[in-house]
Amino acid sequence: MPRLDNKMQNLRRTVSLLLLFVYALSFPLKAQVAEPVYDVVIRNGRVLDGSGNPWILADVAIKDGRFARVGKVDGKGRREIDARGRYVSPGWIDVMDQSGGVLRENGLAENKLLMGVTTAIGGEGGTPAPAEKVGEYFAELEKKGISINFGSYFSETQARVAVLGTSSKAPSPEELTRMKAIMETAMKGGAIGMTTALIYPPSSYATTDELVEMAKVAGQYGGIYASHIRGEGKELVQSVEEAIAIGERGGLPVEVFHLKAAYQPGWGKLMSEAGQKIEDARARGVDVAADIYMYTAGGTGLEAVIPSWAFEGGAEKLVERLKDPATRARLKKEIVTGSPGWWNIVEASGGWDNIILANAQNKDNARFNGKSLAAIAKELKKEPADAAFDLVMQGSGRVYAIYHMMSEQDVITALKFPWTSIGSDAGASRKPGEPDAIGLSHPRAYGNHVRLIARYVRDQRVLSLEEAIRKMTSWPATRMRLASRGIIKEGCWADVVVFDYDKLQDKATYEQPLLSPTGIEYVLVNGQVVIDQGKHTGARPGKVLYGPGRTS
Amino acid sequence: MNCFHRAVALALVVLILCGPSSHQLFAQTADTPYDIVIRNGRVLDGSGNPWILADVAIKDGRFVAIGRVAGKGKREIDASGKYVTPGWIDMLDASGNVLTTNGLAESKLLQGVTSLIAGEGGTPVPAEKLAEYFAGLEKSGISPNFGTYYGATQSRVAIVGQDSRSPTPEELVRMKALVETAMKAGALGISTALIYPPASYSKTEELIELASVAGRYGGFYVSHIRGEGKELVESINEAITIGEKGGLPVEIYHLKAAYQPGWGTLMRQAGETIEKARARGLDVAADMYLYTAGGTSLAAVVPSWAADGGRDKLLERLKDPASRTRLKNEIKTGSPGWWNIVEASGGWKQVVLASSGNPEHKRFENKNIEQIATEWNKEPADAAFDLIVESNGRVGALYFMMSESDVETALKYPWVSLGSDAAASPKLVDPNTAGNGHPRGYGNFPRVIAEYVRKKKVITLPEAIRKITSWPATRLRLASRGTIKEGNWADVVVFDYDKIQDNATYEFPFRTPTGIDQVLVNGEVVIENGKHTGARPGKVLYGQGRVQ
Repeated sequence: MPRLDNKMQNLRRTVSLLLLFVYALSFPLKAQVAEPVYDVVIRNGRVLDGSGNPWILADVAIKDGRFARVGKVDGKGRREIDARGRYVSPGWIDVMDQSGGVLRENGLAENKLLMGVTTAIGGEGGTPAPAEKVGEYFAELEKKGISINFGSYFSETQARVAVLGTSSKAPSPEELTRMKAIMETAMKGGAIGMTTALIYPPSSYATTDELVEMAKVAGQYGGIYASHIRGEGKELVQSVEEAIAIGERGGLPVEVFHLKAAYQPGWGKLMSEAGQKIEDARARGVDVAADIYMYTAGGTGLEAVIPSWAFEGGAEKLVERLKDPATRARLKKEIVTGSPGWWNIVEASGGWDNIILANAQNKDNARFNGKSLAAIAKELKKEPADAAFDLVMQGSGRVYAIYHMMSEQDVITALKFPWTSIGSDAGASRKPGEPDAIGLSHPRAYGNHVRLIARYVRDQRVLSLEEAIRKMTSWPATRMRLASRGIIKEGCWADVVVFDYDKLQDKATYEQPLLSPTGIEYVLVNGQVVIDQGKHTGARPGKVLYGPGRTS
Repeated sequence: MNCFHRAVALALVVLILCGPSSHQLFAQTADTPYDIVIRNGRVLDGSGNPWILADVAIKDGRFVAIGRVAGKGKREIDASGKYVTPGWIDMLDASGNVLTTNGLAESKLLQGVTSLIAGEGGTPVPAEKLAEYFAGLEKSGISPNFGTYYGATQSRVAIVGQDSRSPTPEELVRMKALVETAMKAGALGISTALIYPPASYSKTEELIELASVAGRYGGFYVSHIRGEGKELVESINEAITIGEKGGLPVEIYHLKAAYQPGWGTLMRQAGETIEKARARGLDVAADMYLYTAGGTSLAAVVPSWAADGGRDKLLERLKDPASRTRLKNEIKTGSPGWWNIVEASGGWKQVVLASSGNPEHKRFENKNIEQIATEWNKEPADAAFDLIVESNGRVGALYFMMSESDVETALKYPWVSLGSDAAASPKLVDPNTAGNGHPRGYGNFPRVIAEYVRKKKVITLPEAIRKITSWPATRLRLASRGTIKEGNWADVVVFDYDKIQDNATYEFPFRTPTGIDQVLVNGEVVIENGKHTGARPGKVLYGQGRVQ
């Protein structure tokens, strides 16, 4: 009996060993079967493909930076994101970004990513490097790493200043040839086109003919002409026409930056007229469109209140002129009467009450931040124009102001044009919670893209959600010829925003412009999670988006 | 000096040797880096976006560059002044059978349609032969892309036959196994056509069970719903319930309000019903065709119980005086579980004979049942029944049962795509042939642009294109299709906006459209200036549940 018991025990031992062996064998096998097939799978979200299409209920699988499968996804991801009850959208594109400079210092671009922006197109003021260094500049961004995708225009004014300095004169034929060569170099360096900011001297000195010639070069390299047009107030329509003419004669697409009707007496009328001009041009076959930001106040340097001729010859000349009593008197008068070739932003804003100092760039004047120029003048017992001139001179850098010059109704009108996309006109901050790197505290730097949905889709029902998403995804991508971006489709780059529609809210206000929005849960750039449950992960998967003219 | 001379000479030799060869190398790659480049068109990317002016370069069947394209294509197409869009998708196609004998599908491609989604009536083969069927299409070659649903009714008929009873639990298990087989073979989902017996015998619970199998394999539930007249909203609700309980997306086929007294109200209620479901998170949408007449068998005028047991039984009952009297009476009073298409059309005058299998009926084509009845000196119902009996049940009719304003209301719903509800012709029919069909077979897709964009301005051009490109592609989870974007399959239509016109009418339903210059499927030109090139680059569009 004991022997039998022994035998049984042995048998048991053998069986259990065998079982253990089988188990051990099956374990790695099983593990292999369950091995993640994808890098990331976003499950069960309402997927908006970016095409203006209604959502579908689907899983989105990502591998090697790109969308690999959309629909029912059985394979697991190394990272699984539950998007039940959430919307899943392509990453949002900021078509008017100002981060060109700061990305070299802070590639994380937290304030952009926290508002769902995965791609920024900079360069209203040009590249932070001269044409011959544009290639190098892009390479530097790639080397340091950026969290966001980034492309940039090269500014016509950069070419102008390199050849003509800050002089207001027209280039000679020989000078123009040199300017064109500079533009060519920039396009070959990977610029996506040519910009102007025609309200600011010395950009404003460029004539239409000069710009047509320069635009032709950008066009040869597949570039776009993008412009902060010459006037956005009562001269809006003519200014839009000029941009269209440059595109038509230069043979390239045109982007009108931050389309706005900044002239109180023209509210309700100018915007429709400008829209009609663009529609007419499109009907003729001219590839023209525009972008807008989501606020009724603009923001720029306070020096914009000074007639442009005063800037000729540069900053020192300006200070000289402001110090000279006779010149100062003339400038003050011209703010009332106007000055040829200058866009009167004071008139556009409806007076000094609507111009708010945003960043004095001076410790003593910091107490005036957030106050109107009218109020500051009263306190200083000066005329508002004098107060403005003095603040400009006392700033250690560029002094910024907020100009309340648009109507909500016009913003809505512009938003409804099918060809408008969304640009913030703001840069990334050096550090999160700081004003954007150019030093301008405007809520658009922290809230712009979220505001489109929170305010204009959910609260005011101006647009459908899918239409709003289209304006921030597939449309700018198609428009800027960004290859394989802007839609959730197998093979495209996996830029993604996962958001909670009900909780989505821009928090930045004019009073507290540095608050990031709520409701953005995950943001992916080229398949990597950059914002994870509202926090920046430190990942830098962004790519430089080169123009088609690049010769590498 | 000597050394220097030698070095120079060597350098020259090297230059001479390398110069031309490197030049040749360059020429080889730089000459025609692309298969096709479509130049200077107004490119609508399919996303509802406005056009951009751009070149579109194609290589190896896919889009590779959009914008300014410097490199040349082996084939260059000048699209100046023309629109360039993704290929159009027919969400309700009926070509499952005809593709096995005519893969060219000329009548579809000439309309700009590059992808066909078929299967309202199921696949032309049983579930276990489906993989073979797809392989057969791939082998013989097809010009358009093609995918299909499997008919829930196919599984029913295979197990329960033509009986109107519900399946037993054991039978249901077998039916589910058939759906599973079809899904693994690559079906896109399951379909029902619940006005037709024996499909109409299926109860909601039975369909939920079958749908849940399709859902596990990433499939859809698509349905020609139980009633499209006064019971429209309940019928949509049934489809939604099946999607909700089955856990899969729902597609309502040819959304319509086919009930004259409900025109103007039913369609709105139907739209609200779908939007409410979507707001709850249910993935529901619909498609439609662009005509106010539907077309189906004339047998649809017969209460459905009469078809219990199949066609022979139906003909028998129509011949039997007692049954005939009862059926005639029910066309007036209604019959449970049957959708009264005569009432929906607003009477016999709105029911027109389209085609009959009996040559003696030829003279009646294009006449309405009331006219035919007068000629025959019969009651209209008797005339209709006799037409069915004398043609052995093979008789088609047009039912003018919708209102133009409801068509417009439906077209504006952002979740509506387009389906023709027509099969490709076995071969192109002589354009001067009168009657004998429905214009949707030759005109449906150009019609959305010619009639509803250009003439009536109901929707914009980018929106119309979205409804026939990116939306159906996204909706059906068709990988890498429906938009013009680098990496996507190059299905393309190049058309002239001013000239595009559907020419098919009820009188001449076989007239092909004008204004479509080129149609490309997977990067190959299939239509060139109104002519089919004979190319067969189409692919089978498999469902996501396919097991290879």
